[in-house]
Amino acid sequence: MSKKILIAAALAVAVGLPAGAMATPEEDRIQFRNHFQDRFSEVPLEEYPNGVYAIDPVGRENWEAIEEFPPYEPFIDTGRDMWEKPFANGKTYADCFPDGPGIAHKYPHWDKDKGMVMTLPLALNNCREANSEEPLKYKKGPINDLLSYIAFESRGEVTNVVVPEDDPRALAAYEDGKKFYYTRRGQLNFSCAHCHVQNGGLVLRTETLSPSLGHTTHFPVYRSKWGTVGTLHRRFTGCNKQVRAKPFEAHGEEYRNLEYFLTYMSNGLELNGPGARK
Amino acid sequence: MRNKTVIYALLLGLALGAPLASASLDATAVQAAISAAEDARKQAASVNGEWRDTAKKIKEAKKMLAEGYLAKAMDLATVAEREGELGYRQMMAQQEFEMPAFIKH
Amino acid sequence: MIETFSRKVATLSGAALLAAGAVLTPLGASADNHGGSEMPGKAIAFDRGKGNCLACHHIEGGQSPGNIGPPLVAMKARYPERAKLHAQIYDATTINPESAMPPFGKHYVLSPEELDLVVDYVWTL
Repeated sequence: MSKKILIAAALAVAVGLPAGAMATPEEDRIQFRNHFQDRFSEVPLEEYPNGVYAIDPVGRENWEAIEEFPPYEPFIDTGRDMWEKPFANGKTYADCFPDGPGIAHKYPHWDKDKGMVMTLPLALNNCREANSEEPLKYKKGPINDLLSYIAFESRGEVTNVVVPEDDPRALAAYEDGKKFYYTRRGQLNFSCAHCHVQNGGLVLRTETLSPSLGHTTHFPVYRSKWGTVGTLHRRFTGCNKQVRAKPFEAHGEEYRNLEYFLTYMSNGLELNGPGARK
Repeated sequence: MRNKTVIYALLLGLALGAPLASASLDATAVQAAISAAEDARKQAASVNGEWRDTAKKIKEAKKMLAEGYLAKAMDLATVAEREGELGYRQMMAQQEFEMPAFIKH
Repeated sequence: MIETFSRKVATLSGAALLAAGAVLTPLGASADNHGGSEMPGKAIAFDRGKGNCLACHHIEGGQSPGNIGPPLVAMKARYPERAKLHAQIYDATTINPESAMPPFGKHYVLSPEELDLVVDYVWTL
């Protein structure tokens, strides 16, 4: 729990958050969605989980060809083995996640006891550590197998991030993620929003910029550029590096709060991970 | 004759990019510039405004200093300090959150 | 520390700009008729690690341009004053706070000398 959030939360309570000065998460989400639906009026809402392929017909053809033999399939199989294989103490992931493996739609969520945003990879590592297993790395490697399996088993569930009203720290975390998203960063001075809200659909060199609506539905994602499956926070890291900003720690507070905000923006959209992208 | 020797020495120094060329800089000044760069980097980091390559430049400056390439070390430290300062200012200019107009409806 | 440093940098870059301007402006002016094909600023403008103008702007003769910014054509008509074009590339957010264009001068993506060469080149487009 950071000092920053505590202060923000305390302020929010003290001032009582004057209405109008700050939009509610729900108002933000509607505005965000309307922005894209105005910008791409031909694109039905349920297409946004397909990312850039919702708006780029040429890229879409290639993508559909790739999806006939999904490059992420072996990762799902390995992940299933990981899920089922008992830890050294005889327990399994299912002991931590009785509703598993299709649990991706329950994350990220506000963890009131811990006073922080809980993400799925963090919860998986908490489970491992509670069972005396080494935590997995957050960007590359086996965590992607496990996440691929969980994402696959969660397909068809709907994004439904909640910012509980009974804990002002949750709203503060959401607001922190929102501010991160709209803040210019790095030597090149871009915010996330400059590329994926203001200019989503336009072309940067040869690449069409993906719309931000639906960004979180299909992770982890097999990227041809990576030649493997990678996590959402690996992608955040890449974006920050591209604008020449120092990236933040995967599943540290900044990226957790960013994930909280960004996933909230896609509330109502179906989960369709793992995905495949260029 | 003597002039020629000096010129040859200079040319040799230039060719090697050697410490000779930076004889007017002293290591203490370079060390101070590196410390200033490190302070500026930390100040930027304290507001989440550190740029991607600032720490790398400071590391490289230290290496150049250790190897006696004072001018190169000084250049790197100067750029790194400037980046720290700019990253800090970039964040301070955005402390007050404003929703960009491009998304307003 | 920071304030002292900014003054130092401001003085330095000012001097460098003056020096570069004095040397390079005539060069830029003389190359006008050639469409800039031989101008040193062109290589900087096309370099992905430097100006990388093509990432967002169409430039005649440039491969796979983006379309985030307007095509770079008729620049003298759009910027009768070279200084205005310089200001735009130096930091576009002073003119439009929501511009997505990186502040090539303010953030030293280009050195003052490189920026001047790029301005010379872009002005010929």
